[in-house]
Amino acid sequence: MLARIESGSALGMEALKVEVEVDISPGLPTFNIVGLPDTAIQESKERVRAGISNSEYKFPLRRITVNLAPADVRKEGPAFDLPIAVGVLIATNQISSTRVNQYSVFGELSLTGEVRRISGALLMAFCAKEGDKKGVILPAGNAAEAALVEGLEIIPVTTLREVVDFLNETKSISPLTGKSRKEFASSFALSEYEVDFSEVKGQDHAKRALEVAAAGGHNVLMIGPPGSGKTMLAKRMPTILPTLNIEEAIEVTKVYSVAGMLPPDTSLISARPFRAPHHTISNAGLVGGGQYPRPGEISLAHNGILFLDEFPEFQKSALQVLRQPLEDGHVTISRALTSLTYPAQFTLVAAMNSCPCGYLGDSVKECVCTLGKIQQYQGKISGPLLDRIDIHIEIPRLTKDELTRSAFGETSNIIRERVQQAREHQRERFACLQARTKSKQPRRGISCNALMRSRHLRKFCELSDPALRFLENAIEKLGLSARAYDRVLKVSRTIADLAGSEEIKLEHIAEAIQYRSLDRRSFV
Amino acid sequence: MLKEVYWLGLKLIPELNNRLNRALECFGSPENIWKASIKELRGELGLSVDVAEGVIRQKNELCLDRELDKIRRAGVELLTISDPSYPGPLKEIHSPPPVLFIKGELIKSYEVAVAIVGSRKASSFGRTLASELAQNLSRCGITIVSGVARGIDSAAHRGALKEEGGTVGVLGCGLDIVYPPENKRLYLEIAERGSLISEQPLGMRALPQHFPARNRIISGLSLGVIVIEAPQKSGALITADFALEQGREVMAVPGNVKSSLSKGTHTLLKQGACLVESVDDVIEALNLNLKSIKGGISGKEELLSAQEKAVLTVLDWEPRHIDAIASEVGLTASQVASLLSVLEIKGFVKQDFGKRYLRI
Repeated sequence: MLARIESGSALGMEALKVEVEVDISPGLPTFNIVGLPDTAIQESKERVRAGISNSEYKFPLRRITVNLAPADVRKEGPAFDLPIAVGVLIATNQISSTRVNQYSVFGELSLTGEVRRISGALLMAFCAKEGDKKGVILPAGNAAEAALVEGLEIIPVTTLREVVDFLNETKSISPLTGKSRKEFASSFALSEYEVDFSEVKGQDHAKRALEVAAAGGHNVLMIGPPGSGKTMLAKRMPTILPTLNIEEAIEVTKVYSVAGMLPPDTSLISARPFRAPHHTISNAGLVGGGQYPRPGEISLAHNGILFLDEFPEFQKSALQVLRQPLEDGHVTISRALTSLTYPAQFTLVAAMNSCPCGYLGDSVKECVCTLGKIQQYQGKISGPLLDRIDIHIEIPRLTKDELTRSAFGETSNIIRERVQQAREHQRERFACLQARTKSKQPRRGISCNALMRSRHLRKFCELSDPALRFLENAIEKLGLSARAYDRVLKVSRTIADLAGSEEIKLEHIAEAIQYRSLDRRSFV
Repeated sequence: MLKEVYWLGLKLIPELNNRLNRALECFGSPENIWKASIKELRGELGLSVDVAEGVIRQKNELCLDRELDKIRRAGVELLTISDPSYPGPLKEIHSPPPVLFIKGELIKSYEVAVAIVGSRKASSFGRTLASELAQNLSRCGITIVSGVARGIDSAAHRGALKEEGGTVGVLGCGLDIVYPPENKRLYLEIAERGSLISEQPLGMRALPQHFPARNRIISGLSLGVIVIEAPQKSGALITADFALEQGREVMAVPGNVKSSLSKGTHTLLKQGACLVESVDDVIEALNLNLKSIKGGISGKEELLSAQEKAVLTVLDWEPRHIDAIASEVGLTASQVASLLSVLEIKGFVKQDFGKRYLRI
């Protein structure tokens, strides 16, 4: 007998509809799975056999062939356990096949017949919806995330027995219906963060720079001695970014669903992610990849902050692979058989010491490094990478006296208000770009100042004569490098936006120049 | 064949280059050294068989005309000690370089040259000072001699280049090697408007042992040596030592008592070096008959806005952090950042490490 069940497999950020065909024919008892299964799927034979027997159904002692169609795409993960088990039961007439066509099925089986949580359920639910299925049968642990798919009937199950009873219509399971976007958006309370900017004492200059960075989506490099508060500031960066909108939140949730990192019972990640990988991370860990490609830290930081502490200590190659995603906002992992794309629209916040010992420029402790050492250390960050970081700030270590004297700052909410205002200005400005390019090839519009390219700079960052003269003067006098020119323009555009000014004034340029520490010829 | 060709040949053979003064004593002229046989080399200079054979082999491999052509094409001149235009003061020192490579216009009057040396890892305060002092000395017509190294040296050259007085850069490597690499532009400017000098042949890299030797030329060319910011063990102090040996005036600019960059200069001052605050001190110490020029490179304060003036009043020569300035003036971080940039461009303040500002 033949049974056909629809299931799915996550492939990058897309789900692939997979048809699970189970054929049972007379012959010596064998159990074969074909259709490019990986090891986890090969092993599912054992789980399916034990799961069926332990749920007190009969496992047929005949020749069983399972085909995963399309047969030319590699499939992975244990999510096919449940559809295979259901297929075997249908093919042996232990389940009636009438109801199963309306549903897409996936889940991992335990030997006892329990259904376990899988990764990527959100993508598969979206895929089922596109395939015009009425609903999905999926592990109860994945129900919350799948509920994001509007108008899809979600049948959460905990054991194989429940699935059989449901399909045989002997038991009803009350479905969770996917909520509408509007409902989600309304329940989208201001995301709660555990930290707040007001907890940072002093460091007004650095805070202001981070506000500018948040407002324009600029990448930041913080330079300062150990213990100056670089990590503390970076951790609070997500709290001043504009709140996620529903589409962005779904994208973030998808990434975490694929990575299997969604906290249980969470349907939607509404806070901007903050990822801080250690500097020993491998290239694959950072940008994604591995034997079974998984999103890397840059994708987990999508729409949020990627914080790289001890920036020059990262492997040189790891820093180099960052360059493309920083430019494109996504990362493509190419393999012999497939090529996957993960989103990676993150804001990079990097931190480094000013020299190997960390105390160059410290007011109390003297630096003991030789000049060569300092240059070597700072040289680890290549020019092209530095090109993608608009804002450099120096964070000094505060003395005890300064710490006790300085006041607590503004709360994150107040800063975020201003940031949101500035983003609003940017959206209006760049709206015309999207409309114009839509008809031609799909060129992505830009949403914030940091993404402006040189042609946008020419269009949106025109300077008045005095401002232009000032900038040229500054570059000449301070020995700023040529690449600083564009960066200063971009950042001053954001500063003007924060001030609600359409025109970039001299004072905006002057402030922007402050955020280019590493460009000064005299830094060492 | 010209005599200088032999000089060039001798410079290009390291074994002979190292023993140049001794060889001159023994053989009398470079031509004689060049034409010496193995036996003579061994006998007079005490070279071992291997070394002497090596010397002869290198001699045979060198085509002197081609080498001479090479340096001419690089715009470099040879200056031997017997040349009348060889700088007088340098001739007087112990073991003067018998031959110098020079690029750029030879400055006629080396009599009024002053060296400015100091730490490569100088503070922004020190660099500003070096540049200012060099500029003012230059304005008085004094040639500034230094080593084109990072920090104080570069600042001194840059300061001198702003005026007409001229500047001499003494290198520890061949004239075609740019060290440190970021000074490429400075090299070109010095060669164009002053001169670059080295006793090393073209192509010679900057080796550590070259620098003390270079320092003796720096002090030897000058009437006096001004040390700005030198830590306890510093090349600048070596220059000062040479200056003492050569009977040159040693001068030092005091610094922050607590900074390690002042240790060397303060030691010099304790030992009796002349304290320098301005051009006047230098002119007085060197007994120069020049009209002093009051240095005033800062712009006019009257042109500043009220806010800019307010920021300027809380600043001093002691660097202060931008946040501290902001809280004292009572402006936001954004406003102060902007104002300080403007003041820096206008030349009133200077930024030091860690976003600290000082008034200049």
